[in-house]
Amino acid sequence: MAFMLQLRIAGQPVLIDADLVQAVIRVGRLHPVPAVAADVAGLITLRGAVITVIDPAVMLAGERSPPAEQERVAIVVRLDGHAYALLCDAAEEVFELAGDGFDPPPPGLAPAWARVATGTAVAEGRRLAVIDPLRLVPQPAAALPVDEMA
Amino acid sequence: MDDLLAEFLAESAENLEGIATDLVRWEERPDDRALLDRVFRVVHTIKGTCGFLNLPRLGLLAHSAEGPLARARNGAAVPGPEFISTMLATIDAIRALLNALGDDGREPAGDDSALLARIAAVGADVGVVARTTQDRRAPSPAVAQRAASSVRISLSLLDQLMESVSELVLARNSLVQLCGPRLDGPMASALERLTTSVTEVQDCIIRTRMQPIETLYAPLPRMVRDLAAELGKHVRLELEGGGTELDRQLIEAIRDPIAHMIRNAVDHGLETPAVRRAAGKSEEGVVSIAAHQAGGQIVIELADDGRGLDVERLRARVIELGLRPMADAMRLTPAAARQLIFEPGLSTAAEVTAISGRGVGMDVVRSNIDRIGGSVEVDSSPGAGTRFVIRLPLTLSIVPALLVQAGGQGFALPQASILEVVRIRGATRVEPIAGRAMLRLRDAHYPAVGLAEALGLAPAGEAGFAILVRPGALAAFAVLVDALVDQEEIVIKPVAPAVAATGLFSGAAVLGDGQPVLVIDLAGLAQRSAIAENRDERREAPVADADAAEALILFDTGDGIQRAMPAALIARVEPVAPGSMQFAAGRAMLVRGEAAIPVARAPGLAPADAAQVLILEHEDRRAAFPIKAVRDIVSASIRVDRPAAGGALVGTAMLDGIVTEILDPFWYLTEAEANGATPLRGTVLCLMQGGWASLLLRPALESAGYRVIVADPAALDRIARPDEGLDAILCDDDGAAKLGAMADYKDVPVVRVGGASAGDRAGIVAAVLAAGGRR
Repeated sequence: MAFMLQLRIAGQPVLIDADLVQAVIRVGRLHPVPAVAADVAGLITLRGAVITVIDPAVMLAGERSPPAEQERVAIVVRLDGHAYALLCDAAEEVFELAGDGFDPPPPGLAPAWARVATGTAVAEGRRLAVIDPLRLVPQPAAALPVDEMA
Repeated sequence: MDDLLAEFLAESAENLEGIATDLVRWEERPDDRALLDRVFRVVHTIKGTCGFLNLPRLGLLAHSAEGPLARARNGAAVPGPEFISTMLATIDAIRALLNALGDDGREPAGDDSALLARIAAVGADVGVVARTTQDRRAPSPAVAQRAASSVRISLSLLDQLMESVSELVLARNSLVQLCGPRLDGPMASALERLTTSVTEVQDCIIRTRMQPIETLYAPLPRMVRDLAAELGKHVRLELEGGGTELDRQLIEAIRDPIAHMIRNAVDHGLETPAVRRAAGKSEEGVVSIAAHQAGGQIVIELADDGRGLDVERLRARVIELGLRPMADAMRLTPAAARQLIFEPGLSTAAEVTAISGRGVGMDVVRSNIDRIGGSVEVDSSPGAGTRFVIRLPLTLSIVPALLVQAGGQGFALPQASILEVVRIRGATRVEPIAGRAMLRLRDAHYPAVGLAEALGLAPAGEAGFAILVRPGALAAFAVLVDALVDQEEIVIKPVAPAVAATGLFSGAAVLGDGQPVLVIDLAGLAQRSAIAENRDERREAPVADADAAEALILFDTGDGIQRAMPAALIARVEPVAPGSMQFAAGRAMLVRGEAAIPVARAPGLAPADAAQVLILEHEDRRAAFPIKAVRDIVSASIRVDRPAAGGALVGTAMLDGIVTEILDPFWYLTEAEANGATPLRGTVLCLMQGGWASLLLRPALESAGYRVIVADPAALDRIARPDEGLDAILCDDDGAAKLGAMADYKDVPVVRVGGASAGDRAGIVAAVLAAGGRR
């Protein structure tokens, strides 16, 4: 564990391994995607690439984050060759975590949080959940081709 | 050292692929020493390099194989199949070692003594087993001697380059849009220069990604040989059009389907020699692949001369497996029933063989080909063989797309699947039939899908346009949209799995204005809208004469009539260089350097007025077809509304709402050639109202050797009599009345056309000939 990024996601302060974050960006208007799962907030373009914007609040809090008046902060991560922007309430700061500052996640977390939390660490005197941002990316069950079901 | 090793691995892999093919060919043509020379050289080079790189196991294999090869090369004996098989096995072993070397960076340990013994045994058959001692030499200089006209580039670099160029194209598009439509001055010319070079770079990079389809062919001779040996069949593999180039990505995408289809052809398609003999066929079965480019598509034909598809067994199998209700399956025409071979879960082989396996069937082949925007069809006649036709787009990277508006949002549809775009009004309307919305278009009905509704968006009022599409091998259907926005070349990028899971989007792209757009997956849309079951009627729907979509070149000949020819026979479009159109003995030739191409008599345009020519080519025949300008290249399924009876005109069809004459390039090729022998007979004045004279009579008269002047009777007094005189006047009643009042034309024979005789073109031409219209 080296550098951690402190964020606020779905109303909660969390820590994320900074190495997994490609960029912290501001997103404005989202291009909507029809007929898609609620996690997918829309599309944006970034340096010529199309990026899928994910609203982690759907997975973590069970509801979409309230529509923002202004641009919102998002972190860009890559998974299986696709880039995703994960909407955050705020990105706070980056700090270096001492080698022994990392503990396993506590028992009794809400199921959604338990799925994404990899541990806890102390930042600014508070113990925060460390989460794996890649687990916030919705993975549809490998859909059987319709043909196979005929 | 690492670089050297990587170079050695890459080069050896390529060479080994090639020599496996060479060995198999050499077996067929033992006299062709060049083939064996090449095999020897490659093995020798590998051996030499192994010594240099300290790879003893590989070196020993190569070294052992070299001896027998050298003796075979010296013609000591003609080696039998065991020799070839052993050498192929050695190549496989070397290849496996090279792969392991590539993965781990070092030569794996292992024991090759069985193979070495086999090599020694065949070596003994070929000649005296004597270890050649000339081999402790420096590495072969072959690596260094490679011609410097090409360099090796890593694929990832090429992909990266392609991506950058795609971005460049998009940046250029944004720039053009930002600058607005009314731009002039230095900015405009700078932008134009940018556009020109971006287009050039794009062309170049697309070319670098092209690979000859040969790379796909390379492993096939070996595979067919092994298969044939295993099955006890005699098979000749014919490979054609290996030079046809297509996008590397496409080659990769069809590699497995092609191999699978070839395996099928050998295993299931071809009969055993005994059966073939009994059927009066040659014992040797033929499996062939031919590739060529036709318009904007690559067409790959894969054929065998085996037993053909058993349509009734296909039907029975489909019913037995419960893949289709019986009534459904029985209702299919034989042509449609043959397509059942692509049905998921179907295997036609009575026994499952080790070779073609089970489970992986033609359905996988089709879905692989569908996925890259291609299509596959099958044709077969019992006892005579089976033929598959695969059609593929030229490139995947940059595709033209139609941008549409639905439910207040923009979407892109790939042009390749679009047959036609029509405005919904008048007789073209959407009406419900048995609860399903149908687009009525020219007396045919197509299932219609409202795009907004299918995407769960609120439709913004009545749909304004219908887009007739045929994705892959599905039946045509109509996509209803609110408005058309634009056409743009887009670079389609894959969407995230969460978005792909909707089954409605095949990708996303960045538009010129920097905004993202989703690309509609038309096959998915059909499936989601439950119109996919129309699939069995594909190729039959909606009317019997509907043909597969074909690339058409639309052009002007200056008389305001839109004409089109299938692009397949048009080699290219060329501007007419000044002075290149020359006239001799009453006919035009297009002169280019030493060669002269006969010029066809285009309807409505004298060769001298041509601005461009379409170069028609078929086999060794060539003709130049004069035109004013190319209007468009469209992919459309031509439905000939009014088929013409022979002649240059295939018929008329509606394209983009415009009546279009579809011309037959074969007719013009023949005509241009024949004209070489037919001198100009004379000049005929066609004095008639309306366009049909020029439409129908002109080509017929022209092909009979007449120059034709078409004039409206009302304008008779304004046309100058041609210098060469008139040989006949064709006129209707109006024209005759007008003519009677003019003294100038008293000496010219008149042929009256009207009433029932008006449609009889051959009769009219005969009458003109009889009227003395002959010099």
